[in-house]
Amino acid sequence: MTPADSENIRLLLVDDEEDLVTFLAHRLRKRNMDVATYSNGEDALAEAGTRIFDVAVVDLKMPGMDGITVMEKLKELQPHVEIIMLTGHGNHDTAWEAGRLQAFRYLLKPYDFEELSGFITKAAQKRRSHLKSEFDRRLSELMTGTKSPRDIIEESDRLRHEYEQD
Amino acid sequence: MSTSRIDAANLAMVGASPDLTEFLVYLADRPRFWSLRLVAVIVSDGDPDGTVLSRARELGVAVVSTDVRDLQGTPPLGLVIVLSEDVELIRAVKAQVPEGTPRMAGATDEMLTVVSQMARKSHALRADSHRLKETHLRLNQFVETAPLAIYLKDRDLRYKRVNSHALHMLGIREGEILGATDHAIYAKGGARWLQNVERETLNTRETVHASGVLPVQGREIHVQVTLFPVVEDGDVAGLYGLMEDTTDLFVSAQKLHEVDEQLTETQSYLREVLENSRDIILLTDPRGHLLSFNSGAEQSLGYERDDVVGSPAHDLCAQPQAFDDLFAEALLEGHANAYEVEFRNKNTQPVLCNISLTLIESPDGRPLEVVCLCRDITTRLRLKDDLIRSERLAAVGQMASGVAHEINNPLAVIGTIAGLVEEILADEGDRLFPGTHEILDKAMERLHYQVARCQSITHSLLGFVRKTQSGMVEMDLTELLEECLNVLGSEIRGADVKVERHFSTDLPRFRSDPMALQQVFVNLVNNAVDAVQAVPGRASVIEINTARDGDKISVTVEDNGVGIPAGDRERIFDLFHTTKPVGKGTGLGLSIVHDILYRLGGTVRVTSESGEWTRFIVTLPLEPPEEPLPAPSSPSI
Repeated sequence: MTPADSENIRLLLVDDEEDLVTFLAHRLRKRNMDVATYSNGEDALAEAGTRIFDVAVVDLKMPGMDGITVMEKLKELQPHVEIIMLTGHGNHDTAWEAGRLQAFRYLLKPYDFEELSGFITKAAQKRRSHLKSEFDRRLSELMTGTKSPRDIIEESDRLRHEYEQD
Repeated sequence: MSTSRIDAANLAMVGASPDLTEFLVYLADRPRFWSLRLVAVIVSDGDPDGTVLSRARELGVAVVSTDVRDLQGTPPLGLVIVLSEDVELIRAVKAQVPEGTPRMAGATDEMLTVVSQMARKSHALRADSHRLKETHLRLNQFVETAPLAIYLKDRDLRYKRVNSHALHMLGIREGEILGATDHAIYAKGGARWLQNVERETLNTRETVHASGVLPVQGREIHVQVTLFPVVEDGDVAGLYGLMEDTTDLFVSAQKLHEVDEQLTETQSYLREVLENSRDIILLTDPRGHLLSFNSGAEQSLGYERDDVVGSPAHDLCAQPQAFDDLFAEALLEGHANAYEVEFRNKNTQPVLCNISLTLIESPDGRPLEVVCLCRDITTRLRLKDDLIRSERLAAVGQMASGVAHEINNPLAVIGTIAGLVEEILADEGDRLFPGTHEILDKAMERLHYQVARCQSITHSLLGFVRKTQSGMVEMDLTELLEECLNVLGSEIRGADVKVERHFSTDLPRFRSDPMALQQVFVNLVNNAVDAVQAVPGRASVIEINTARDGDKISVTVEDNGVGIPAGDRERIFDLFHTTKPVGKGTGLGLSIVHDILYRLGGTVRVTSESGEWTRFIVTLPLEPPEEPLPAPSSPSI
């Protein structure tokens, strides 16, 4: 993993363990990630309503809104976000739920830092390549369509704007 | 006997000679002449004053007359004695008595002798006749009242006589039957057998016994007949038949037969039940020597019937004295019970039984036999142990996993901070005093190691197994065992252990969880390696056996290592129970083995001889449970 891979990854970190978010965020920022930390789901979702994240690392068991709900709502707000589940309370059901919500990974605490940071980078890459292929597909649909050149230019500008924001 | 001869006793005396009175007196005095009927005709010249006449009346002479012509009015005469010389009188007599009536003249001794002989004969004949009549009467009476149907048939088999019992039996009136044959009485062909035996009687002239069924008035009656021929003047004139209604007897016999059959059936049923019972059923004589040994006993104890019948039953027990005490109680009280009595099978393995003894006595109270009913509860006890262990594991596991949950979060924080410190050290460590950098590096490395150690404990505890399980697939056990031995290759070689593989070749592929099973066998083999390493100087051998056992597969992992002390065997499947040095074992391995096998519907047991060997016996079902069972030892995490 080179620092370049992790640069500017927009990361949302949600865990009720304050010590963990503080020091984990510190280490990830040292890898040039753009980390936002929250100790509860409600605050994290409020933030997600205003800015885009590439990857979210979410603790499963939290007071208030639990991790599964946070994941569901986050996916509704930002369908392209990749989620890594981090928990000290892994069991069959939560693993299954993680699978259902198409979490990128499911990690048990105590985790291995290098492993986690690697997964974050991979998740971000996956998201980018996913978005790129979707953009290309829609662009080629637009090109092969029956629209006027003027419409095509307008539409493609709109698309590019949409995907650049992401 | 003809009538004329009887009438000869009618004796007439004619004439009035003085001898007449004397003769009358003579006859009257002799009782042997009592049956003579006397007719006296006394002619007037012989008895002028009538004295003879009145004398005759006194003596009871039947007809007394003075007129010869009165002879005509008397019954026919057998003999006329003329006591007169009077020719006229003789002629008159001649004229009055029928031709041929013997006459005598002159009362002589000779004449009296003749008369007396005649009288005697007549008397005897009458007595005979009387007796005959009597016999006839009695016979008739017998025939009428006998509880037998009696009939007489002529040679054409027509009924000549039947008694009233026969009429009653056949439900017919006398008028309908006399002169008729059986054709007219029984339904067509119904009495053919009777006619056949009757003809036989006529032909052979011998008494014949027979029995059969007669259709009488819409029902069948069973009869026994005795037939004997009637022979007259050398010819068969017919036959007598004596017939007895044996229907009731027949029905009773039939019922008896049925009851007898039922009894036999019940007996064989009971024998079957006893014989095929899966319980141990023993029968002993009052001394306690075995009389019988059922197949349940053969199965549970491994002995053949012939090996043990005749020997004392207490030889089968681990504590013969305890059995003897129980037996004595049964002899005294009639019954005795005991729980968890330990028998020994042929291979000296313990077989635990609930036992019940019952004394069987003769009607006069002598002890005959003792029935020992024993239920093999070895498996049940083992299941109970398993259940208790599982419950205990569940309780401990629940608590342990709760603790593990809470530890994981701080562990994550510690790990994160340690990593951060390391990173800072790497970036800025050169600003520290000499040596401090090195010691901090070392400290951080150990901190990571200790976090990892805690992590291995908490993750094992929290069913790490489950997260990594691959799920149920068709698999080959032999392949899986080879893989496990491969994984452990370096440990096995390092410990210089010989691994003997006795893998059955006819194991079917079956559905199970290979990842989980790999954990099981790696754990067991790893333990075996540790166990043999603990005994230096012995050629270390680990033996792995597989076998198909009905709908199960069994795998045994046996080592000749340190063994497990009896006191520890109970607890080795418990969480955190470890006999290994600190840092070597977490105390989780065997509880995870137990947990995994439980979920897969299998079992694990251990037998061991402390200091000598240990054998783990794993069984796996060929058909796994539909849903993996919830784990008893580490519930939700």
